[in-house]
This record gives sequence, C-alpha cells and structure tokens, in this order.
Amino acid sequence: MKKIICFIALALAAAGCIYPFQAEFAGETPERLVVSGDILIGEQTRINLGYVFPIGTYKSTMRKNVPDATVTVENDRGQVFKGVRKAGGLHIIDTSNAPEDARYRLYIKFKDGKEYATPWSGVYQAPEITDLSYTTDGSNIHLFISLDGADSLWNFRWDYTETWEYHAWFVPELMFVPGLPSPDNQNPAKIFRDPNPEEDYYYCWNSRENVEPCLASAEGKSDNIVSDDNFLTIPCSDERLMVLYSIEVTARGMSSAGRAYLNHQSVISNISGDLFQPVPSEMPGNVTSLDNPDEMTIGYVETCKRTSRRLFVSGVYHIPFDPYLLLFHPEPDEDGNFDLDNLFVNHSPVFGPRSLNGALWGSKRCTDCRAWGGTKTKPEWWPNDHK
Amino acid sequence: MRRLVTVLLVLWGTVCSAQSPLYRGRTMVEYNFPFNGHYFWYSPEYVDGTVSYNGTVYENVNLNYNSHTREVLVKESAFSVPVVLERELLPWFRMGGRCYVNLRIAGFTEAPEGYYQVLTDGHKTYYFRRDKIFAREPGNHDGYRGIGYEDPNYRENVIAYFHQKDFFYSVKNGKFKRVYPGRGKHASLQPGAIPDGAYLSLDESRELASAPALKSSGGVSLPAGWFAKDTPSSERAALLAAIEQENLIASYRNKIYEIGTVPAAAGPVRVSGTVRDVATGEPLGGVLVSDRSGRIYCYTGPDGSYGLSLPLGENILQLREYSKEDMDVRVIVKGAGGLDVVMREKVTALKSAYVTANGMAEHRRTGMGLEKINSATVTHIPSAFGEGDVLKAVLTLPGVKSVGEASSGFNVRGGSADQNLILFNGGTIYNPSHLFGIFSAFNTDVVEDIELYKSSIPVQYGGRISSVLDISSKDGNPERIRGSLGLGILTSHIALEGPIVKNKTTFVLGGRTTYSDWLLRRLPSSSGYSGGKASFSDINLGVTHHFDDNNTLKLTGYWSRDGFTFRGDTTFRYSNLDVALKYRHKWAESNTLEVSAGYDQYHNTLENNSRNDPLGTYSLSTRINQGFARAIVKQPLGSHTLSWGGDAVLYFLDPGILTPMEGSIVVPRTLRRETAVEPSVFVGDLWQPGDGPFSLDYGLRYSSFLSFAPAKYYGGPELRVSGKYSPRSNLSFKAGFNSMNQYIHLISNTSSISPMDTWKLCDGNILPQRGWQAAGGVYWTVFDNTLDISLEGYWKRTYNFLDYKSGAVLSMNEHLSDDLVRTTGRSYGVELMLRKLTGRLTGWVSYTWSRAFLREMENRGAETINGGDWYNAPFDKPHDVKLVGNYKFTHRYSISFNLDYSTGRPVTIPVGQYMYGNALRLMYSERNAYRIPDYFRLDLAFNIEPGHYLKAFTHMSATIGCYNVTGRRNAYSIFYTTNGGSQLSGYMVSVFATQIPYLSLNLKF
Repeated sequence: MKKIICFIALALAAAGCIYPFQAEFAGETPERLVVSGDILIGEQTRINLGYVFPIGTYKSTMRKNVPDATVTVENDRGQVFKGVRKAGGLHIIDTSNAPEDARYRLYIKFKDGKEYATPWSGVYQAPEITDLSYTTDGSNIHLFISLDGADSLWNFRWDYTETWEYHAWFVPELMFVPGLPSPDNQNPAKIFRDPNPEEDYYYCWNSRENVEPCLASAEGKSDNIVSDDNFLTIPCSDERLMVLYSIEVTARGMSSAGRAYLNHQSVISNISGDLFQPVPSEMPGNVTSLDNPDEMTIGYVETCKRTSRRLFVSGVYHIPFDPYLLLFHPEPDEDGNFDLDNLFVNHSPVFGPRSLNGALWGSKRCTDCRAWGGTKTKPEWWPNDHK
Repeated sequence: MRRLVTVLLVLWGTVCSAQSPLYRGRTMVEYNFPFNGHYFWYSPEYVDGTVSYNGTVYENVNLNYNSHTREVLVKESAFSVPVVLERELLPWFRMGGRCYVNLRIAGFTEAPEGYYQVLTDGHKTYYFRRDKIFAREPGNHDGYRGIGYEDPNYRENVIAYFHQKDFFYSVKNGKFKRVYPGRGKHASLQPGAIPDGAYLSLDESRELASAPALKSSGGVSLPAGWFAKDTPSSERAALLAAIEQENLIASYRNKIYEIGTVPAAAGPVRVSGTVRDVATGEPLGGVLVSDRSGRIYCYTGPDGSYGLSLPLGENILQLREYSKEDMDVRVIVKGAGGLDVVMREKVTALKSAYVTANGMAEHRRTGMGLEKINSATVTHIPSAFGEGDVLKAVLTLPGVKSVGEASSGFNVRGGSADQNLILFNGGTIYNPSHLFGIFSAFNTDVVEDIELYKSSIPVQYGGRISSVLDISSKDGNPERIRGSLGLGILTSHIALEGPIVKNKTTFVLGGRTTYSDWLLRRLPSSSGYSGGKASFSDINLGVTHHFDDNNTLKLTGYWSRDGFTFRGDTTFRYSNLDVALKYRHKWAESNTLEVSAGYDQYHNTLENNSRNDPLGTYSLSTRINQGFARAIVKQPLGSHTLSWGGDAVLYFLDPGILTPMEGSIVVPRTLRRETAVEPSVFVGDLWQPGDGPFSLDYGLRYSSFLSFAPAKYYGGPELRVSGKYSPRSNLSFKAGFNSMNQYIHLISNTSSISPMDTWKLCDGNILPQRGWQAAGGVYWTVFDNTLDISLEGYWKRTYNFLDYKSGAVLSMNEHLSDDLVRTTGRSYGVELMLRKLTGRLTGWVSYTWSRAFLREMENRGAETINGGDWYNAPFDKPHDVKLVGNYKFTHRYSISFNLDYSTGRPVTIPVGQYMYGNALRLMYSERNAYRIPDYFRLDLAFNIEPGHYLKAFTHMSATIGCYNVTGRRNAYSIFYTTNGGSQLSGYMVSVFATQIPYLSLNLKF
C-alpha cells in the first residue's frame, strides 16, 4: 500500500516537469555597452568593458571582442586616475592612494568620441567581517559569514577566493619512457623507468573565485548585520577538502539600488522555472551615455572600500571510494596486442612488474595531480611544507 | 378519501351483484398511465374470465392481471373502478382462455408470490410467470426490455418504463424448479411464440389437481384489516410519486388555462407565476419563459418567479431550460393573473448539453456575450484529476483564455485576470483557485448556476471592467435529506441538503478537501518532495427560508483555505471568507425587490522561515475586508421592465503587514490601511415593444469611489446598451456597448496570479481602471433548431491598467506607485461558434481570433516599456480553437472529449548574453516579444451514469478519464538560466507533461 501511495504521489509530482528547450531568436541582439566592476579605494580598481553578444557566443569570443576605450576614475578634487588597458577588456586603475573622503565617478571615452560616466558618489566603507567559520554535518561542510555594517552600511556584498591543496591518488613506483613503444618492440627496459625526484606530481594547488556575488541586505531589520549566513556548502568528499582548504572572503558595502541591480541581474539570469517567477525585464544601471541619455547601458558601478578575512579548513575529507579500484592490468586483444595509443596517452603505470600487462596502470589523475586542473605552484602564504 | 371510495364501491357491489363477495377487494389506483409499455400481463384490455375467489367460482367477469403488483383485477363494467382481488383468497383464474394458478396456495411455498400461467409442450407442464418491474432510466425505450416497437402509445423522452421479465418453471418429483425455455430438454418451449395449444385448462394440470387448497371451500369470511389503507412499498410509493408527477406534467400539456379572473379591456396584461421542479418542488431559476412568438420573454429569478406582459387572447407559454424538458402551456389570457408551472428533468440530452439554454434562447435574449453553465455540465468536462472544475469549464468557452494550465484566474476578451468580477452568492472571490490553480475554489456539489457576462454586462453589476462571473449555490431540497459524496485521486467532496422545516426552511452544506499533503508526507526523502506540503479545503453553507410565496431569506457562507510549501522554507497561505444574507420580496405578482448584504475577506500570508538566515525570518500578509450591500428592484411596466437600485462596497485593505518570526531581527512594519467606499446607483430598462422584432436593453450606472486618508474621489457614469433585431425566429442580429470603471487593482509582476499578489485601491497616484467594449453578433439556428451558429465580434479599450517597472518591488512598498506604470489596452477579436445541443452527439466547436495589446501611457525615456509602442499583453493568444463534446452510447454510458488549441502566450526571453564580473548574464527582449510554443491538449472521459432505479437508496456514477491524452508537453513557460553564472541553458516548464489518468466516483443518496 505504501508503495502505491508513493507511486501516486511521485506520479503527481513528476507530472509537472522541466525539459531542455531552445527558443528560436528571430531578431538581432541589440548592441549595448557593459561596464562591470567597482571603484575600489585603497587598492587597484578593475573595470571590465564589454558588449552584449548573441545567445550562444563562446566566453572566449566575448572576452576578445571588447571595445577600445580610455577608462579613468575621477574625484571631486580634480584628481584623475587613468586606467591601463589589459587583455579581455580589463582596465586596471591604481586607486590605492585615492582619498576616502572624496566623491568619485567612472569616466569612459571611446575612440569614436562616445563618452559614458557614472554619477558622482561617496565611498562606501567596508563592513567588518565579524566571523568566518564552518561547521560539518559529516557529509558537507557549511561556511558561514557574519558582517557588521557599523554606522552606515545596510547593504553588503562579499566575494571569495578558494584555494586548496590536494594530491593525486598514488605516488608512482615506475614511469614510462616518453614515446610510444613499437608494437614489435615492447622491451620493458625501454618502456619503464624509475621516477625522478623532480617528477613529484603528488601535491598540487588550485584556486578559483566565486562567480555569483553574494549579496545581503539588512534593510527592514533592527540591526545592520549579516549573521551566520551560510554562503557556501562543500561536500566532504570534494577534492577541495582533500589536504588543506583556504577561503578568503572580501566584503564591501553598497547602495540599496546597487544591490537591487545586482540581485535583479542575478535573478533574471538564473530563473528557476517557478510558476510564480516574476516576468524578466531589464533594469537600468547607473552608467550613462553623456551624448545620449536615453541609451541603455548595462552596469552599476559604485565606490567602496573592501575588507577581507581568511579561513583554513582541514581534516574533514572523506575519501569517496577506494583508489585501488582505479588500477588495472592492461588486457591484450585476441591477437595478443595492446592498445598502446590509449594506454600511453591516457594512462600511467603505477606499481608492479615492469611489463605491459604485469604493471598496474591507472589514469593520469592517479599519479599526476596536474591532471586534476591544478598546478604545482604553491601560494607563498600556504602554511605547510608540501612540495 | 380512497377508503371512502372503497366503502362505497363495496356497498354498490353488495346491492348490484349477486356475487358481491367478489368485490371485497381493494380499489385499484387508477393510473393515468404516462409511461411506455404497460404493467398488464398481455394487454390493458379487460377480458372475460372465470375466477375462484374466497371459495366461490365466479364466471363471466372482466379480468386482467397486473404483472407489476402481481394482482388480479376485476372490473364490473368498462366505466367502473377495477378492484384488486386478494391473492390469498384466489387459487386460480381463467382469463382469455388461459389458466393461471396461485402456486403458493397449491402448496409450493417456495414459489415467488404471484400467478403462473399453465403451459404444456405436449409432454410436460410448465408454469409461466411474467413480471413487470418499474424502472426509471433515461432513454427511449421503444423495443427495449419488452417495450415493443409496435406499442401505439409509445412516446419519446419518457424516463420510466416497465421492464418485462418472463420466468418458466416445472414441477418434478414434487419440487418446483426454474427452467430455461429454448435450452436442452426445454427446447420446444419457445417463450417468444407460445402456441395456443400450450395453454392448459386447470383440469388438465395433473400436478395441480391434487392440490387441496385449490378446491372451493365455500367460505366467505374476510380477513382482518380488509379495508385498511395500504402501506405502499418503497417501489410502489415511488411509482405513485412518479405517476403523480407525470399526471401533473400531462395535465399542463393537455389543458388550456384561462388567465385573469377580471377580464381586461385591452392588452397587454401581466402574467406571472413561479416555475418549480416537478420532482423536488424547488424553484427553478434561469428558465426562459416566452410567448408563442418568442419575442416576449423573461427569465425566472432565483426564486423561480417570472412575469410577462402578454396580449389578450390565446397564446402558448413556452418554458425552456437546458436541463429541463421543454414545456408549452396553452393559455387564454383574459386579464392579469398568475400561472405556476412545473418542469421535469430532460431525459435525452441530460448532462450532455453543456452550456446555455437551448439555442433559441439567443434569439430571445437582447444582451449578448452571456454564457451559462450548470453544475452537471461542469462535472462532465474532463479535467485534471477528475475534479469537476467551474473555472476550467469556463475556459472551454470562446473568448475566455488563461496564461497556462494550473494558473489562477482567466482572461476574457483581452482583459486581465483582475478585471473579472467573480461573485459567489453575491460575495467577491479574490482568489478563485486552489493549489495555485490546479483546482477551482468552487464545489460543484453546491453550485447551481454559473453565468459569465463577456459583454452586455447588466446594469446591476459593476466594479470590474472586463467580465462578470456570477456563481450561485443551490437551495436545499425542501422535501427530504439528500447528499452526495465524491472521491478522486487528489480530492474528496461531500454535500448534504434537505429541509430544516419541511417546505419552509432548507439547508445545503458542502465541503472539499485534498489529501495531497498526506501523500507528500509519505514520499521517501530521496524523492526530493518529501518536505513539501500542499493542502486546501473549503466549506459552503446555505440556509434558505421561505416565509411565503413572496418572501424568501437566504443565508450563505463560504470559506476556503490553501497552504503549500515545496522543498523550501517558504510557506504560502491564503483564504477566502464570504458571508451573505439575501432577502427577496415579490409583490403585485411580478415586482421583485432583492436586498443583500454581506462580508468578504481575502487573506494571504507568506512565511519565510529560512534556516539559512534565522535572523531574517518573517511573516508577510495582506488582507482585504469588505462589506457590501445592494438592492435591486425589477418592475414590469407594460412593454418595459425596469431595473433600478444601488449598491455600496466598503473596503478595508491592509496592503502589507510584516511580522518577524521568533528570534528574527526583522523590524515589524505595517503599511497604512487603505479604507474606501464604492457606492453606485443604477437604472436599466428592457424594452420589448409588443411582439416586434426589435428589443432594447439599456441602462446607466453611476459608480463612485471615495478613499479616506488621504481623501480622494473618483466617479463616473457607465453606459450599458444592447439591442436585438430578429427578422426571423431563428435569426438574430445584436449589438451592444458597455463602459465600466474599476477602483481596485491587482498588483502582480508574474504571468499567473500568485498567492502573494496584492490588491491596491485607487488613491491620489493610482487612478481607476476604465474600459469600454463595443460588440456585435449574428445568431442563426438551423437544421430544425438543432444547431446554433453564432458569430460575435468585439472591440475593447482599457485605460490605467497597471504594469510594472523593471525591477519593481511590489510588496511592502510604501511608494508602490513609483514602481508601477499606467498602460492603455486595446483588444479586438471575432468568435465563431457552432453548437449542437440535441441528439446523441452534443457539444460545440469554437474558433476565436483575437488580439490584446498594452501600451505605456507615460514617456519615461529609455525606460518606457517597448519604447512607448504597443506590446503584446501576457494573455494575447491570437488563435484559439475549442472543441467540447459528449457522445452518448446509451443513456448510462457516454464519452466526453475536450480539445484545446491555442497560440502560445507571449513571453520575454533573453536575446543576448554578456559577462559581468565572473558571471555570464542575460539580456532580455522587449516585453512579451516572443511566444511559447502553441498549446494543444485532448482530454477524454468515459462516464457511467447511475441507473434510475427508485428502490436504490444510493446512486453511483463514475468517470474514468485521461487528461492530456496525447501526453503533449505543453509549455507553461520557458526560461533560461546561466546555472549560477557559468553556462547558459534553456528550459521549458510543463505543468502536465504527461497523460493524467483519473477515476472519479460520485455517490448520491
């Protein structure tokens, strides 16, 4: 009976479903300038310029086709901080010595004479990161942040950079000599060799930044704080927790309108299919064309200071499976030949006798941590002595 | 009385007959036989015979045998009343040369009661019994179960008949045994053609000759209670009741009624009365009463009353109602007077005709754009999960659309969902749906009539600019307690009705609930739905008291609640509450006054219990409380029927109450309560000059609105005009115009009405919605009045409909008007409909071509929606085809089908992408510039109606159906996500993406 009930309920729940769908776009994509980034006082400002591209354009293409412009930060004291153009539309402006008590704006001028600017605004001070911590329930770790807006901040944004050390599954006892052996010459002495000490690919480091900004508002609350916001959850079997995990959170304050803009941008770009989802629409930003005020642009640029805090996590990793299950003895085909291309390109010997089918082989990831996407470059501030 | 007649007959028999003891029987109820077939063994004709009765043999008497009651009847003459002879005193009789015996008296006590004809095949003796069982079942019974084609008195559309059953027995070794003619050893005995030689005389029956009880004893004693009034069996009582009804109906048909005790010098004169159901005595509302020409007509009110101005002389009063048999009453109008009429349930097209009265009604009604549905109709339209659904039935009508299945609300002729006034017993229903639109909020068990005004909105309605959906609940049965119980896959419903004081005070009580919550709780946690909750329930109560024929008081109450949580910490709840008291008074035969007052409440709450942000948890609620009062007088004056009155609505609207949950630091906040009053007065006239081809329905309503704090006044006249020209009785041309004002707005930025949408009264910044509609149509009934063809066109304009700015904050916004924009709307369309209401196949097919656009009324530069140009309204679906039908295999079994095709609704989709920081972002098109894929759905249902057996206490009906038979994945919406800013994917949401089979059981008692 219970199964029948479950079946009925599941059938009802499954009746409404979400399916992949691709609409046919009949019109052209409007040309629209995109300006992203904030004026960061006390550090380097990073402003990205770009355009809107048709749906389906590769990210790499979007980063290449960027407008050529001069980007400067100006303040009401007449100071001008000129940007340096980098690849991918990135403009770096040194505002590390810009005064905190001035009012700023971003000014952009294109080669064709078009000018854009943001309104003048004061500097949003950085909130205090009062706590950065984690808890674990055995399956996941949950990272929490608490912020204090002090006297004036009610809207917050924080971003984070994760850095982690991990290792390959095995330290290999043998390696193969570069170059494929010929099918007729499979002399083990010419195929296998001992690993060199400098060929230590066991420990690696990797790093990434968050994609979606974390936003919070204390508007409508009695205290302008963010308390224990669970902004990130990581499974305990994730490679990030394998050896040592570090997260650096950088927080900033912002205006209510700026937070609403970024939040709206995030919502309409990550629609869940909820029956009661608001109909998506474009919200105006604060980058204005000085030539044509009716021109729509994308971007909300504010001026702020940032603060950061770092947290290390270790000892919570749960190995998801027995790595020895990844190892295998190569099997020859019916004619006694091995698929050497596949074996030597995608796999590495790990242990055992020095023969093709005597040794235990595994994927590159078994012995080379770089195959996981990381590098052997250890951050200078990394607290252990692994190499 | 019957006993007195019996005594007189006995006395008469004693005086007139030497064989008087024979007449010591009961008088038979003289049936004015209204049914097909008959209850006699062979023929209604009495024939000469011999009977052994109470020990004496009587010869040369007129005899017959009632195979229904199994009684022997004797008649002194052709004009005398038949007498029923007592079975215990009658061992045998001979009639028409055939011999019948009472086997029980012969000693075969196991034989069923009754008489047996003695037969032989030349070798064996057989005993043949013929039973006629009274059955009540819709259908034409010619040639069916013993009702022969040759029956000269055969009548169509008779709901009752006698089911003939023949039984054969033999006696072997002293045992009484049933045999089956035509089989085995009894092959020679053919029941269909018994040869004359097979009939035996009593003397030839060797088995019976030894039966001592058959010998005449000579006794003449009468058993005790001989003349006692019979206590009729339930079947007999039902038969008598049915006969009474039939006789009543027949008397209407056969008689000519004189109306007017005081002859009038000149016409026209007022004829009025009440129309009731013959079976229940309940007054019938919505019955079209017209004269012979069809040009003088009216509809009965909720109390069944009608009033017409008829010319003097002979006429025919025609009564038409889609679920009742047509009734034509011949009258001679001599002066003003009254005539009450009863109508009977229609048989052949019962529940197969879905919408509106018969087609001729369109030619009599002056207004246009009115669609009527009855609750029986609703239950037969296939729907998801088998639950009869009022709103889904409304959606099968041309000109009515929705933004998607499982969405609340509906759109009429390019109007938004909030522009529909939904009234339930006069109370306003702000959210007409359960479970976010899967079910409607109305229990079909208690719903009587549903009227949708798409145009030509009567002058007494106001407050919304698009349409009026007026739903009324039925009165309780005045005679006895009745009820119904329904079981579906997701829901159950029950209703009970009956008298509190017989024929004076009645009640009707209904309730519905769902077990979806219970089902969801039983899901394993791995399903992902185990934390979900979804439930609803509603209760209806109605009490009606008839002081007398002219005064009626009705109290109605409605309460519903919804709550749902799906895989999250957010809970939605909303509830409707409506209480109304209505008093109807009738005077001077046809003048009516209706006064009603009530209280409505709509309350919704969102609880954010986020575990991720315990300091930010809150409860947000909005509430509408409104009191209303209205009065309307209808007064016939010659060829005019005046309607005048007024109404007022007092609003108390709480647009937002924010309350922190325990431990939260959310600051409690309450937006200022909006208080306003909306009084209106109106006067209208239906002018039907004589029996000419023209009629005009015109009126003026003046609505006003006064909001307090800050004080603001709005008001304006609303014009309602519609006219009809009928050059022929089956052809009409109509045109109409109506303007409306609306002083309350639904604040929403979702495609479908969401549980958290709020309502907003007009104030200094938010102006009233205004709109007008001009419409015209032609109506033609062809093929012997079996097929209606109608073509209606309309043009509609609206002003001050609210759309929203990009990124608008619609809840707890003290400056809401800053986030809203005013739009003007225009819509137009043509609706073609073919409707067949008789025959085995009934239903309709309609095609609608329509457009609906909006345009922002202000110039906000680059932010102006669509640059200030017209854009598609969210409910703009240009092409719409609907096919609804029912095919009856028999009167118990039918199949219903429903086909729906429409253009996909407009949506806003991404037309570009860009990088913003590390995230991939989307840029959207102009508002509603694209469309989701077209919609197509086919539903089928197989209906099994209950047998109309009167003996049964309960009647079970069942529907087995499938919603979305083709399993088409219709898009409810399409959306795009960058999956957290990394990679773009497009998706389609389909609410019912597969076939939804269902079984629905309904029990009536």
